[in-house]
Amino acid sequence: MLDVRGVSYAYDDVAAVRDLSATFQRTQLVALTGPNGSGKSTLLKLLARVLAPDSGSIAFEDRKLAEWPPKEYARRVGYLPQDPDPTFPMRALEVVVSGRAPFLGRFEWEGESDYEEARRALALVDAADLTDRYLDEMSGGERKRVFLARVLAARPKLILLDEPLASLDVSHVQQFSTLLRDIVDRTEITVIYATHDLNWAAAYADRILVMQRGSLALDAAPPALMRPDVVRELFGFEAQVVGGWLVPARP
Amino acid sequence: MGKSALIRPLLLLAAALIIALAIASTFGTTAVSWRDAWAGEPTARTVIFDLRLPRALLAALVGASLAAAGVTFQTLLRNPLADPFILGVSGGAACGAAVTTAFGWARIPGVVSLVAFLGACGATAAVFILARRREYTDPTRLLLSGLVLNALFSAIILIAFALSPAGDLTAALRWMMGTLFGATWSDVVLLLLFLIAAMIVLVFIAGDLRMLAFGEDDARSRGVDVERVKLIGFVASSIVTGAAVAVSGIIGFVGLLIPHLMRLIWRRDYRVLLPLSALGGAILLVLADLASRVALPAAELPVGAFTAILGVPFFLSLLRRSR
Amino acid sequence: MNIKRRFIVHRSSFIVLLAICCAEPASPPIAVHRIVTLAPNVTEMTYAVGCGPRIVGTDNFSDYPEAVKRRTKVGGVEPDIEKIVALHPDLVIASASNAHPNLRRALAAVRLPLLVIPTDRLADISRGMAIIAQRAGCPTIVTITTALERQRRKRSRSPAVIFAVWTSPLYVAGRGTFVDDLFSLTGARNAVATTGWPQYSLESFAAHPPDLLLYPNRSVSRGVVEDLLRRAKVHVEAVAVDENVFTRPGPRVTLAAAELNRILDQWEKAH
Repeated sequence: MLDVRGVSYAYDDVAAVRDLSATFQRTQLVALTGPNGSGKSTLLKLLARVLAPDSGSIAFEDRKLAEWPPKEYARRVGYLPQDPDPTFPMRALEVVVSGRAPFLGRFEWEGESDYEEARRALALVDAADLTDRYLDEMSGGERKRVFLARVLAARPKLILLDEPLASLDVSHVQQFSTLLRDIVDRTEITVIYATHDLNWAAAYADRILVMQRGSLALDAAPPALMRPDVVRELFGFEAQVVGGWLVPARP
Repeated sequence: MGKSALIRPLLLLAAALIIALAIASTFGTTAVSWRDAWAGEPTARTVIFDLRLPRALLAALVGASLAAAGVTFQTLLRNPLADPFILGVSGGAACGAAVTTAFGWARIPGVVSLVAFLGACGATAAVFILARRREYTDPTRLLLSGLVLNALFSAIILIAFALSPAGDLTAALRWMMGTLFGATWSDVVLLLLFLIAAMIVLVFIAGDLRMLAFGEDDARSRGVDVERVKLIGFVASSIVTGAAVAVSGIIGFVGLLIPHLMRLIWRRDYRVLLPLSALGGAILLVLADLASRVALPAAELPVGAFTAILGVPFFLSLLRRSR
Repeated sequence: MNIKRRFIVHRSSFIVLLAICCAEPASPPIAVHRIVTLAPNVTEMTYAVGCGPRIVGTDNFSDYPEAVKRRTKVGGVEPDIEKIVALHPDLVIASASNAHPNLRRALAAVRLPLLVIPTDRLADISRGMAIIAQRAGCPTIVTITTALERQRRKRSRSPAVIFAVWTSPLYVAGRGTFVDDLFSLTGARNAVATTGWPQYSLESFAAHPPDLLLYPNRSVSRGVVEDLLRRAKVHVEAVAVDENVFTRPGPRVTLAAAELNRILDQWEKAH
């Protein structure tokens, strides 16, 4: 579905993504991990068409990104940046229905069907009770769900989430991870999300990509990651697997 | 929902504006009646149709321009403290006016307005160019450039005032505080054209501007050509602000306050806020101008003072009552 | 018609058209019964030429002669056009030095004729009065030239004089102003070299102190002047002068000349 070939991008003179290639299919939950500065956000932005690659190509459904009309691409591919923060607090329903924008003409307003989709998306993320609440009255976890609903309101085939689990407390991380898994299983959507946490990624994702200094160091199913030698090589610390979880090794 | 949320407040505000214009045309420092004016009595006709009505209409247009520019800047810069003058517009305009006063050209009618307008546009262009880097204009850099340029302009203005002939100084200071003195029908027509042009442009990009409120990357991922929308939005807002400033000097608070007032009462969606803010700004300035004319019997007070006096208490009471 | 006549007809109709479209609408010599004046000196000038009784409204600052205080006041820097219209004047007279730039437009919009009188120099005063008299059809022809000439003095020692309009900051009368003309008339020397009404730095004041410092007696207080002299660390003789005649370039400027002569005579005697 999504075909990335030899893509590179540099900010001024600093290379963020180097000659990266990967393919993504439908109905996958893909975790993108790696240390800070490894290029996770940049890669997601390239896939979301927020940035254009300096070299290489990205094709979605066999068509190059540059050939997709922006709004049509936006209907199929959703993007959620890190720490979304609309300047002025709004109600959840307003926020979510704005996710329908790629379907509207220049002067068109959202109609009943769009509001229906918005409510459906809120139900999907288990946030129907937040519909009329204002964003600044919600907790971090609730806000994240509302923004996830916003991305889902367009019924995309692929969604790209930049660090959705960051700054969530543990119970919410589990809740959110379960939610993502649920959505992938139920709607056959593909989710690529960037995360710091190896364990949660391994527990829920179908596939883990590890980025290191702009390149892909690993692209495999979770078991391939959950090994002390791999962890030592990729992340540079000693770990051991206890009960299926990676924990720092006792010295 | 959606569009219908706009219709009712729009009609309400439009009606309020018409009432405000009627009140502003009815009251003034002399007692004339509409009946006399309709009957053709010359003094009443002159006072109402040649003095009060064009002035009230001009106040409405200036208020609408400033409020529309204000809400656009707040959305583009993603900053609730932005006002139409933040990008150096007021500084540039005032600088132009001050310099013409210092050179003694202020007596020539029309010169101050023209130079103020050019100064406003020139300042905005300078700010934009300063903040642009590799085809990208960072809102924070824009704000900083605007701030810095405004400071520079203030310095030039102070120097210009020190060198000005004392007689012209008072008129120049009045202008800087905002004034609708000597409003004529030709002023009304001119500003109307500018406002219509700006509104057409802003309505055209309103949908994109609304998406910008969620963040630039976010908007880009949804197919919005962010740089183009920013450029168009800035240019349209700056030009209409420059035109308003050229006509009436620097009237503060309207561009900052009215968008927030509209947000508190109604929605935060830019597509809704744009027309409502324009109407709200028009109403506020018409009433403020009326107050500045009639508050003291023998003097005309600066209208900029009354936009604050009228607007702020209303705003504060709404703020306290809101969530 | 033959060619020659046709040419003449065309040419004359062209001239007529030219005259119609390009000529300034000449103010018809209508009788001026009601006048509004917008500056104190203009008010006094209008009274001097005998049109005082026709004045129906003045600016806020006009106060001489006594009758003027009872006239309707129409405002200051931005006169209230509504009030002016309500007075039904046939003519509005303003001073060039403080007329609002938009005044002409504002009055044109309500079809009121405006006469602007320049009053920067001493000679402008007599000329201004003549213009007012002619425009408004006033009975008296007045000139102050003779009265001023009587105040002309040549002095063996010309004191350097400064007239301070305002003290914080220090604004003074420079060259090319009517005050400067008064100085030349009465045999004094203006210590200020620049033209107009410039700001004067304390440093210049301290470096080249004048012999006499004159200041208007109502706007500026003695205490402020003494404070200024203390800050400049100079000892200069400071004399208060009648503000009403020294700051209004009008017919009473002859009184200013006389007062100036008195002060200069005293100075000459003392030094």
